[in-house]
Amino acid sequence: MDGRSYDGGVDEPQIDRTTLRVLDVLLDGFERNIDVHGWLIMKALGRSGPAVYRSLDRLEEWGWIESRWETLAPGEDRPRKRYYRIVADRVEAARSRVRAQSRPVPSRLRPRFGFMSRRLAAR
Amino acid sequence: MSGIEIVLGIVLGLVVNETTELSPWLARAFVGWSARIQYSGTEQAEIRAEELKALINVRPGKLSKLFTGLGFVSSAVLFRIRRFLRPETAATGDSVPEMPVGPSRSLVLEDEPTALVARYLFPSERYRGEWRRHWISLVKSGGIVLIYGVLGVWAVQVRIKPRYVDDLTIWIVVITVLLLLWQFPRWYFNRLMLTNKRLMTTRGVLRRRVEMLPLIRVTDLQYVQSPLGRLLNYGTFENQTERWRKPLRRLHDLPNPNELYLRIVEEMYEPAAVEARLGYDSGDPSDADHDLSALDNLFETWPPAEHDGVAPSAPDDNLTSETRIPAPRRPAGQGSPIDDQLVRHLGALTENVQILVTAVQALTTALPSQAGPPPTAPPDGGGDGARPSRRRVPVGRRRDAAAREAARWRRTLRRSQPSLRQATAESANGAVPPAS
Repeated sequence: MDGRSYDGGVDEPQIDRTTLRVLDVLLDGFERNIDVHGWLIMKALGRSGPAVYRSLDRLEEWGWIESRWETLAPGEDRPRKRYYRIVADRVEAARSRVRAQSRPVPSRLRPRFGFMSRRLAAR
Repeated sequence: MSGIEIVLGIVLGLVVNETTELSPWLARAFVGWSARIQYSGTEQAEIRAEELKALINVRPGKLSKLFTGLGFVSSAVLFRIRRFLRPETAATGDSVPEMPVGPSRSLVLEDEPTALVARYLFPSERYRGEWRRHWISLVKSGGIVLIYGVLGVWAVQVRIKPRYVDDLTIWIVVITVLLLLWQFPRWYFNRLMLTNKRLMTTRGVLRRRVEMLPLIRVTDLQYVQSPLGRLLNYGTFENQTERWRKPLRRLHDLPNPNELYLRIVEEMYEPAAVEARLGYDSGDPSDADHDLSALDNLFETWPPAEHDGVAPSAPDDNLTSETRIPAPRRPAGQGSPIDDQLVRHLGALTENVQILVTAVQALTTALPSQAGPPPTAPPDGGGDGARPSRRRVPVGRRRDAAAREAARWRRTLRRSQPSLRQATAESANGAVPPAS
């Protein structure tokens, strides 16, 4: 992408599935007023960190999300988390995109142990 | 239990403990490093480095922290390699292309095809999934290489003159290791792909082989699982056929054979059910469908009008509903203004073409009576070397028919004058053609 900001039109960006799901999580965070950081998204999606951060990079480039640092208590010294939030005037666009493009996700086929699969499925 | 074993146990325990203590620290170092690799030279690098360190802190588990860190590093390194190989895509900071490579955009229904296989799909094809072989395939091929390596070393030790033994052994070991490493990319690039039209495999790293089998030619599909296959859940697919060599006759070591089998079979027998389950028909038409809908409207309204009994030449003969690119049906009024305009213009164009065709037909029938050889000339063109003309001069009933044809053509032309005029006016030069 060339860093343009997109405003719902014909040439809206093509959103891949991971980005869409990240957007979904961020929307959820927006609605429930939760500070969403990278690990939360990873956990919610069950995707690897690089995939999630690729999507976050992309959304940030499009200007759909904004981010801020966690504020530490005085005297505390550790790496700060970074919180992501969907930009208020992109909420409607994001919501419609998520609604329009979300399809039931068929389960991905992965190699599994045959003798364990039933028990794992029951869990 | 001897003393040395006790000491060894304690030392090993300490080592394991240290490793797990060390791994969060290592993971933090890794993610910092990965951020600097991936976002080198931008302010984003420092932001991401700190953020990812915080992420590692939050992430539960100790060894899993290390694995997360390793994941970030490998992704960053891959990103750099990709940028090195293809500067134009990475220059935008986008490690994965927005759209799959090639023309098959947004017609995919399930997950997107990876860039590895997307280039082998044609635009209107619907992607249903792709699978690597089960990891047992990697183990098997690696095992074979290993067995040959061991056999080679053994043979060298037993059969070769002692002064050559060392060199040869080293060579064999090096080659075996290289071949072993080579098995991984070979396994990784070996994909089976299912679309709504065909079953495909792509193989090879340097030498590439793409095979396909149309779903209609998948006959008597069966899968076989060995006892180990039952245990580890892999199987071999066999497509029975009379032909001896047929592509995809046997597909070894596919994961989850039953599920895969059902997917292929469902795609063969109930493609509509697959689409319904994937929500294709219920959802909004995607962008690509929108692009095609103008074309679709055009085909639906193809024969624009009957012209004086002249059957329109039908170019849509072989565009039956099977071969047509599927696009959502839309009432003509709901198309975008551009679509409608396009359809109107094309309609006018077809009318004109039909008039021309009629005219040419009439002319070819009527022309010999005016410009042909005189009626007294012999019908085979005489002896002056001209090509023998088999066209006969219209006489009697044939001449009448030609005259009737010409009259009909004139009538047609006169009747369609308004639409001609309108079309010309719309094309904005305003020149009204003179009446014939």
